[in-house]
Amino acid sequence: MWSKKGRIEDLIFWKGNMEVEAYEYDEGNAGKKFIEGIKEGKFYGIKCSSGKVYVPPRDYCPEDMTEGNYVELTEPYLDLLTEVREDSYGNKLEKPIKVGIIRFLNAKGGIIVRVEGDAKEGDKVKVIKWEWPLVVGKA
Amino acid sequence: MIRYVPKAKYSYSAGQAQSVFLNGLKEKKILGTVCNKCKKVYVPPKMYCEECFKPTDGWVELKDEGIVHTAIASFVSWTRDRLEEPIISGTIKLYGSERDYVFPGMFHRICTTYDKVRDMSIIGAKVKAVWNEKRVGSIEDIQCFKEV
Amino acid sequence: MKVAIVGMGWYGFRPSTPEVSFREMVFEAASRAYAEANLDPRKDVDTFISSQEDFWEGISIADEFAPDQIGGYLRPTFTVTGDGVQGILHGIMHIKSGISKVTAVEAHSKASDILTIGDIVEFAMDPIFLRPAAPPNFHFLAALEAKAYQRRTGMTEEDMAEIVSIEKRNGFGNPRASYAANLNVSDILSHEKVAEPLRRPDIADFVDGAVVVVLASEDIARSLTDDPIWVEASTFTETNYPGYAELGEAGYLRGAYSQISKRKFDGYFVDDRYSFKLLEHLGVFKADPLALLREGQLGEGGSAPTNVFGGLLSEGVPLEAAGLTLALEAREYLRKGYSSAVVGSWRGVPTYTGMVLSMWR
Repeated sequence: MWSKKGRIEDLIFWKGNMEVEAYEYDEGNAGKKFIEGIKEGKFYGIKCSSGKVYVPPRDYCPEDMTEGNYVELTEPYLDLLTEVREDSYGNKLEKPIKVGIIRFLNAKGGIIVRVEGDAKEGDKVKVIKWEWPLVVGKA
Repeated sequence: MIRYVPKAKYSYSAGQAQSVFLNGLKEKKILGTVCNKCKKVYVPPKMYCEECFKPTDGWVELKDEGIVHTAIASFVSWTRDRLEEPIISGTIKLYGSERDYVFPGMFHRICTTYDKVRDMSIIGAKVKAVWNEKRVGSIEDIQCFKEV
Repeated sequence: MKVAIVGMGWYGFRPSTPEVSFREMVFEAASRAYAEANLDPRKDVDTFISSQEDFWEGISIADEFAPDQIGGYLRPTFTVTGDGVQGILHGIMHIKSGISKVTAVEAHSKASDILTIGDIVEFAMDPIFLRPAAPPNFHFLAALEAKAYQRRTGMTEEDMAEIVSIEKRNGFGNPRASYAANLNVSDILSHEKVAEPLRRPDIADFVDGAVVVVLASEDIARSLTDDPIWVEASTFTETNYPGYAELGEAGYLRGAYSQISKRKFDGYFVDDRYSFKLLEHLGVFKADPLALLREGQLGEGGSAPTNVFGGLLSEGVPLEAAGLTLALEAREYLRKGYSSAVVGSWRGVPTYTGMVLSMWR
């Protein structure tokens, strides 16, 4: 139509959902190794034929699509940290949430974690709870 | 396994054409838009003619009766439950079109028997809308199209 | 063979567009684009491209809803799951491969229809490594990037506020800038942090809107206009996981830019849905963008005119139409008599996908 109604009373808005009930994601081999490692108190990455180490591990090396070898990584440090104070809709959170990325020397990649206490960017961190997702604090 | 339940909720803007259509159902009226250039009538209505790519020109009221163009019987509900009695639905060709596969029409429930779907005798049958007493401006304001 | 933009049209660019369905909104934008190009889509357009994503529409297999409103009824129409600049890129391929002479590209946003937009963005995150650790605010990913960019460049919160202040004022006079405002740096710094170091004004709001672009081959373009705008486009995805991305380096946009012919640009139109992204993205095209900001070089007449009509901070984020929104700004700029402009687009959090659209005459 070449004309348009503007009165909100004349217009209809239809409430609906995308019918997506739930997903169950398979972690994949590398994901399982990583998360099982976390539960055992270990960090796993993959070492590729190039010598590069990736964390979290993947089922393949990004540079040549070959399988890498799992290697254990130690001494994580907090690379980046933010404190979130409201949710995506602008509601203030009851308690601010600290989230960061921990990394390891000589490994490419990083792990998104929750952070407790007064750890700062650059600090060495220790894992407070060996569960996925991880909670870390100042070492 | 990592389990995740997404939250995907919407408030779909019906817009110009479908708002008028849905409000029309509240008044027991089936309204369509018409393109004066190609004479095509749109039910459900569109504010533009998809064939001529121009705004449609005005509104027409169609009778709440038509013929069954196609019909199916489903033993699976909308939420994937097994049904003892099938839901019968199909497309209703409302009067007013000379073209076989392009017509003003509606997809809706058809009040008939499973046998008539199975032997295909429902196809081509004349049907009329059964309106709900309480109407809110929804496609559900029509209970079904029933054979006359 | 060159490809040109011969028409653009838009509709909406308001926080809410209750008067139209998304299809009606696209029809309005398409009508304007075809009027400008002086083309009849039912006769003169060979292929149609819609840039869209099911969860933005709230319709699974939303492709089915793409053709009619751009004139593609019973015509070759296909969808690109991505930004409108990626749509243009596919359109250029249609024309260069010879299957089309004229191609229409569409992107739109009905963000106001999405009641749970924060959850939809979260749904786009890596389900194994990211979603379980994500706080209930997707902006945290941008906040981490902002921290990385601050560390790399020395950008301060005052610099970020300065960008917001400039962009919100640049929007005055831009008919699409629903979020233009007169805010000074101290107004902006008085707001609380949403996610360190980002304050609410550092983050662009979502907006409804539709943009349609008509592309044509060189011969058709020259027959339609004396002043075609030639285009080249590219796209690049760095990773889907922030742990792997070079945060604060806009690797996705650098990857895209590396595929584009190098030329001198008179203006820069970059995704600034977060204030600091203006600098991060401008840095792909110009060295030391922070110094350019502090020296006041980002305005018209400066050495790096950037988002001079307000960018997304003024216009809002129209989902997959963000790149085409910047392209509208770039075209407006060329119409003022400049000879070249570049668009640096981004698909936003949680993606590391960037697009470059080079436009010249």
